[in-house]
Amino acid sequence: MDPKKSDTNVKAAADVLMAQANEAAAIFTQYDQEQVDKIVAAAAKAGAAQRLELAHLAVEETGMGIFEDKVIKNLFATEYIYNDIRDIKTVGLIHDCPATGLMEYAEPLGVVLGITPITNPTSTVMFKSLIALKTRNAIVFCASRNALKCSNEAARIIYEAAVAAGAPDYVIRWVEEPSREMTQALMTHPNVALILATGGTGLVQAAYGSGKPAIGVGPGNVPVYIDKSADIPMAVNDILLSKTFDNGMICASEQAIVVHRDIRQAVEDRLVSQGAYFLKPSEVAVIQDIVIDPAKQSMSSKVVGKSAQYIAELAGIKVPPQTRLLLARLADVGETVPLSREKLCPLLGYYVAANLDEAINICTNLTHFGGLGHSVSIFSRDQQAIDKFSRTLNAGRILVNSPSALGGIGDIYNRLHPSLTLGCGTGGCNITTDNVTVTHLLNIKRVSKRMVNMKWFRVPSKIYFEPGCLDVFFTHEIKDLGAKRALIVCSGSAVREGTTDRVAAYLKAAGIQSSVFSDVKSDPTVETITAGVAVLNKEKPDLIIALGGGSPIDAAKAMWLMYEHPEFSFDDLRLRFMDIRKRIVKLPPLGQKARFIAIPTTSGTGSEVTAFTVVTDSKAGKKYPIADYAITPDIAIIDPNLVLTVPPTVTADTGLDVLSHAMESYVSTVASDYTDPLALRAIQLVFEYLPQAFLNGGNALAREKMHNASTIAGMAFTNAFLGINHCLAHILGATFHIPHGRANAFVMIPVIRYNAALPHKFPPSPNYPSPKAKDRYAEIAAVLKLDTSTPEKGVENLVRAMAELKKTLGVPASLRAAGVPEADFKAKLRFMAEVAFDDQCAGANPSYPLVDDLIKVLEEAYG
Amino acid sequence: MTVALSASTVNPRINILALSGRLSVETEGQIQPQLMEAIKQSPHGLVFDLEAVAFVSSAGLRMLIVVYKSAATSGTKLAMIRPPPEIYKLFKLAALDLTFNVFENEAEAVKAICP
Ligand SMILES: NC(=O)c1ccc[n+]([C@@H]2O[C@H](COP(=O)([O-])OP(=O)(O)OC[C@H]3O[C@@H](n4cnc5c(N)ncnc54)[C@H](O)[C@@H]3O)[C@@H](O)[C@H]2O)c1
Ligand SMILES: [Fe+2]
Repeated sequence: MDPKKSDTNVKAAADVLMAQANEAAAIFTQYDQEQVDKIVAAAAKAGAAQRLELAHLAVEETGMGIFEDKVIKNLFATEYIYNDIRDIKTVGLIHDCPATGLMEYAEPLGVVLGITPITNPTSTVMFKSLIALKTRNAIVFCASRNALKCSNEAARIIYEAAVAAGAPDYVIRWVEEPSREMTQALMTHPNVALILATGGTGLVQAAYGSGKPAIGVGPGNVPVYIDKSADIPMAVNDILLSKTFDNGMICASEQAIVVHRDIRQAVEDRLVSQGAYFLKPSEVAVIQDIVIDPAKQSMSSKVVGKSAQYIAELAGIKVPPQTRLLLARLADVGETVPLSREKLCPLLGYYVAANLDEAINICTNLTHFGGLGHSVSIFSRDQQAIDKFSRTLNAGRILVNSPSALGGIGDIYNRLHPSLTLGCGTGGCNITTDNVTVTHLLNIKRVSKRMVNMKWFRVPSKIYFEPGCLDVFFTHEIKDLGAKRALIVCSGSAVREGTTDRVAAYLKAAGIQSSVFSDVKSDPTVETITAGVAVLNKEKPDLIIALGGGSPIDAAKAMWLMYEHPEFSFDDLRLRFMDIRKRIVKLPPLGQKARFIAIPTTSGTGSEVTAFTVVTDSKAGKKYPIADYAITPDIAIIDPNLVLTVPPTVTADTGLDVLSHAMESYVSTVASDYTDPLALRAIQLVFEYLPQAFLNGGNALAREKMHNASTIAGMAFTNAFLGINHCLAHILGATFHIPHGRANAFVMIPVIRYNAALPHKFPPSPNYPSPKAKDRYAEIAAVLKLDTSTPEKGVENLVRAMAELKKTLGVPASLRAAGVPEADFKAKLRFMAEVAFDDQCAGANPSYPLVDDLIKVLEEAYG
Repeated sequence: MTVALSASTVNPRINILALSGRLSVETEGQIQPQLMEAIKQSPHGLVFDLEAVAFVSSAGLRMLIVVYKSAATSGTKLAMIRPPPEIYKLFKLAALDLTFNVFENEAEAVKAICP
């Protein structure tokens, strides 16, 4: 025939098949699960009913294998497969998980091209038909030329039963005149959604090379290791059963035995007694060229699926009449040892290994010689040996104490999915190591609903307040702690004021020994903390009492952490994270070694109730916030008697810190109903009482209100977090040695203006669905009884009130007014903006800041 | 499956044939002559309204193809409106959406047939 003409004929035939299948696939998309299940049941039943006829046909046509075993395979492909897939949801909504907000819908692939082998012809066709029907796909078969009749008959039986049960016309199609060109035309046909190829390496590579999505599964070269702990009769029985099943044609069947030296004699005796024959060296030399085609360097089709007797005869070797299995003792694996290749007939290589390691290495060599990723098998009663074997060898199926052929295809000897298409992973140039089944023939559509993250509210379990509560606590409650040894961490001022001595005396009276670490200066450094940890390790206290302003409390928190968990480095702790619950460095709870009491003597940081501590790296000139709920103090004592001596500037600075905590947590993206009232109350208290406390430090009421405001704001921001006000204050403070609260005050007004404007970039937070900052600032203004007739007015009036407050407190209006040299500021501007951008506090800001935005805010603060 | 023929309110020279129910092997035998008859009565063009069609089978789909082919030979213009989304998707998968001349609504279909 004219080759050009035959080409166009082939193409036309492929087009017809594909058009029909495509139409069927389109129609099939309308079916529901019930209709599909009815079709699959009918098809499985029809296939099972024809098991004998199909087995006859296959043996007759291919001249390979054993009728009785093919009957089992046909039943496996229908009954077992059906049983496995019958209850699986494959249509519409197949999974719904309210907890994760994920729903999965199944979408059919369309047209599947099924390429089937000569070795398991009818069973593979029926298997692929059933999984295609179950998933509402159409399938076109391209069977092996030498198994065409039986394969197509199997396809026809399933098809007719399916259509009778309501399946779309043409849902199963088959090639009547197979040829290389036809396979090629089909594999590259635009209508093909997936190639499902089972066969030799060449075919699988062609399938993957077609450019179409493909699940191609290739050859194995399965070693079976008989460990010294093996049940020998069981091992020999299973290997014989498996390797003689359908004359060894299942690709998962054993190709070589590797036996442990200690039991070799017992194994060999048992093998021989069960009908195995060890070939003599001279016989191996002859038979190897018959079994492995020397020209093609692969198994000869003359022996595939033939009996041991037949193969021996073919080689002119006389074997005992009861021989069922041939064994060839081999010394090596590789091209020079032809019988170390895959051979789908009852002939096995035979190796003896000195120990487990050597056995595993032989198995590694075998799998790497044409069977990587397929299957391996082990007989052993030693779990450690099984573990080592499994860890090392690369095989999709590792079968333990079972016949590998029947084990590999699943379900009969184990709970693997039953399948006649066994994935070999990338070792076999495949996409999967799975036993291919319905799940591989679906497009899973994941519907993902928006999920908001869980929030929480965490504060110390005990917070004491009211004037004099320090004394009451230390004369009464302290005993309940059962502490024996305390370390008081404080600053020079606490020592000067006599508070440290007072606490030490109370401790003594309560029978608690104590010592003092008073070496904490403002803005504690890494060095201070390291020194403090050394003291802790020496004194080994079971109680840490932090007494002083934010600096000693922060220092003590960091020291506590390093004392309890010396395995954490400072670098781990300051690692920036996006979500405090997903951070890479996870802190175990503290409290194993010591409990923690925080007693603030300034009204500012709220550190006595927060999960934060700020540590200064004096060498790098940076401040690192460390955040973790583990460092929340156990007990906080809020005694306003302790703040009466705070000098006015410190009162002003710390009070403005309170204000910025409350403001930032109110506009934060994670603000909640739990934190809002705290933030608003703190803001009210600051506006009302901070000027009084500043102007008259002896005003006990103002002091008390400010002390409470500080802790209340702390409770708000430890749960709602801060924003760029603090990011900028951290770096401003570190660069120009400005007290923390004052640094916050300098940027506060430009920050409000920036946050209230339309964000340049939205913060990626599921809990924050739309910009709210402007309205939130207006709400604050409303609480302060300012004019909020429009949100814009509210924001403006808030800014004005803020400016007035600063003025009252004697805080310069700008950094320029505060005397920060302009050239110095300009030179450090970008650097400061970049550091602020990377500050941990930026995460919850209502507008995700660009570095340029931060530069503008800083410039505005400079004035 | 039931069919109902009426004149288009947009352009009375064009007819609308509303189909409803399952277009499947059980109904295809009786429906095809009715569709052919409708075509004959609609020399200026006919629009199939599929809004109430619940299912299209293989046979039903092929019958539609046959009907469109014969209309093409007789020179009658056909269009289709409002197929339910599952059925429109099916036409798309079978690459028939263009052949079937599918529109969102009557006005568009009528305009396309008879500008
Ligand atoms: N952990 C957090 O959540 C958090 C929040 C904001 C700020 N901070 C950090 O806290 C530190 C600032 O804390 P701060 O503002 O309390 O300052 P501070 O602890 O440095 O104290 C300021 C000054 O006041 C003195 N002082 C303290 N109590 C006194 C008293 N009762 N009478 C007289 N003088 C007294 C101190 O000795 C010091 O000189 C900074 O390092 C800042 O980064 C931490
Ligand atoms: Fe602060």
